Amino acid sequence: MKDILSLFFAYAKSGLKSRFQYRLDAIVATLAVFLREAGGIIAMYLALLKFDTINDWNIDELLFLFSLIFITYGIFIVFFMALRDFPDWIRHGDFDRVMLRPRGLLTQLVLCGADWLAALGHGTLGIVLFVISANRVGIQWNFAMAVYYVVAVISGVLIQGAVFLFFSAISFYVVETGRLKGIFYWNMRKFAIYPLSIYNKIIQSILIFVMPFAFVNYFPAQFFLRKPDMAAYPEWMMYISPVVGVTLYLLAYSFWLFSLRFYKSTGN
Amino acid sequence: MIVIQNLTKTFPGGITAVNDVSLHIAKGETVGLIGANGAGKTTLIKLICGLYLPSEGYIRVLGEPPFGRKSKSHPIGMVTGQIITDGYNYHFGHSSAVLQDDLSLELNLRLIKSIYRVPKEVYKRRLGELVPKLGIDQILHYRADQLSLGQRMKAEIAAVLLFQPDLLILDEPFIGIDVEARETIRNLLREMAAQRNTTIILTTHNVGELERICGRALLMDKGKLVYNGSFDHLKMKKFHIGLTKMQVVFEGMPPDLQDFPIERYVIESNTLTLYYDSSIISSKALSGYLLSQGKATDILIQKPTVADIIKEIYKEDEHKNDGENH
Repeated sequence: MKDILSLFFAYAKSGLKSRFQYRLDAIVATLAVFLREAGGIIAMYLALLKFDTINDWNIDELLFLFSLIFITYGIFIVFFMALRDFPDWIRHGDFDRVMLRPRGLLTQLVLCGADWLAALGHGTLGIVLFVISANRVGIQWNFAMAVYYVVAVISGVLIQGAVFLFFSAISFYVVETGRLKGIFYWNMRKFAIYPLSIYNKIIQSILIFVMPFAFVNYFPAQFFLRKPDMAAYPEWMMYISPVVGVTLYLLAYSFWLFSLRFYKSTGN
Repeated sequence: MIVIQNLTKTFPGGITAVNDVSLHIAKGETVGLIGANGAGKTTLIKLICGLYLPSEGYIRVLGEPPFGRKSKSHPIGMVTGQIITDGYNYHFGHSSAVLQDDLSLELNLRLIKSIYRVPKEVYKRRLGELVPKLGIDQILHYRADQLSLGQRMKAEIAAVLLFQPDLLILDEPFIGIDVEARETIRNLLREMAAQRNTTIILTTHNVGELERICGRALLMDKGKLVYNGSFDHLKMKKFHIGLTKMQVVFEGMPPDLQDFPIERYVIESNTLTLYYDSSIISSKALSGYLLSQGKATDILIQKPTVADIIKEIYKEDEHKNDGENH
């Protein structure tokens, strides 16, 4: 453990040091992420002002729903950035280096890929959104709720991590996985910013069973908000995010281990 | 150290890059791997490093199958000077197997210290020796992807020597490196082999370079290991492997060769035989130039085959009186 921690600090230090050699670049990049995403939220906010509510969710509740996506994504890119960009790691030969070094493959990918500055951009926005919306929707915080929230965020990170670990494993077979990710992750993410109940059965099923964003934000948000549209789903769905996260992650990890044997170093 | 028995690697699409190779390399041995482009050298190296899973056969490196090695206490170092091409363009963006592109050399070295668990004092001592020896003090703050090919080789070698691998593999390490630095690197490798009993595998198409360092030669052709033995036996001192042969039949005086960097030429009655490296000289340009002088009546171009190479090697003594331009 101590060993992994010292490696973690070595990577974090070198990553940040190198980013801050170009200090202005680093600041602009962080700010750009923040502004780009904030711009998206403002656009959504303005659009929502036209409606009072969507399926009985008011604007603050919608922002609370949204904040879960941002916070989990902010943490996700600290740990899974390398998996997000994994095809590049293979194509440019960086994965050879990872294979040659005497440390766990995922340990290295996780530690080396961490993008602290982008995470800062996303994470800050998520926290700002969370603080504002959680306050305005009037959650009465207690210890159990705080624990639930932390567990839900970790589960959300694991679910998204599992999806990207799965896509990374696919890159051992096919070079181009960007489009798959576009369809399954980024498009579904756009759906996930609104309450699950507004969609038809097909999209709902995808968000629950295929690309389970519902367990990243909708069901955890329902635990706090208890909106009437929850009646359409079994109540236990609010509690299984950790199970979904851990199960998916283990499945994806097994698939990754299996697929590794198909790795073919680039060149020649 | 390395035991390979009937090892075969076939890639999807049916290309067999390494075909039924058997080989033993003892601890502390320094071995030179020779072969033309596409002979399977790099694939064999990557099989040894554990970057490819073998299709068939047996391979043990440091006592275990190299692909997905669990034991991390005996690191393998790999340095490659090969410029990767996709057939059209050079990929200068191809990352190094040792250094991380977006970090300065100094940060890279520090990271390597943590990854390979090099104790602080040892790190300082080795760095203190390596930096002046390799003359890399000026480039320590350069990002790895800003280094020139020669600088990058020196930097990678420094990085690898920092963690002192049990097995060191160098694939074309002398590309872009000046004579003086070559000498330094050669000495460092000899030191490693002598003091730490490091096993070293080296490929380069400059056979003379190999002979200075390596005790044994391995010759590959079309995926097969076709020679495994001493350099003395091969007697390949002055030859570069993989030369293309062009036979030009001419009338009157032999044609002028301008300043094409031909490795060797032989004139016999009305036939001029040229040996050159087709990766440096385009056969088309050379034959075009020769034809344009109006003296050549026939031109025959032959890609090198190992049979030719071996024949040439054994004919070395006969050639001594011929027009060698070495």
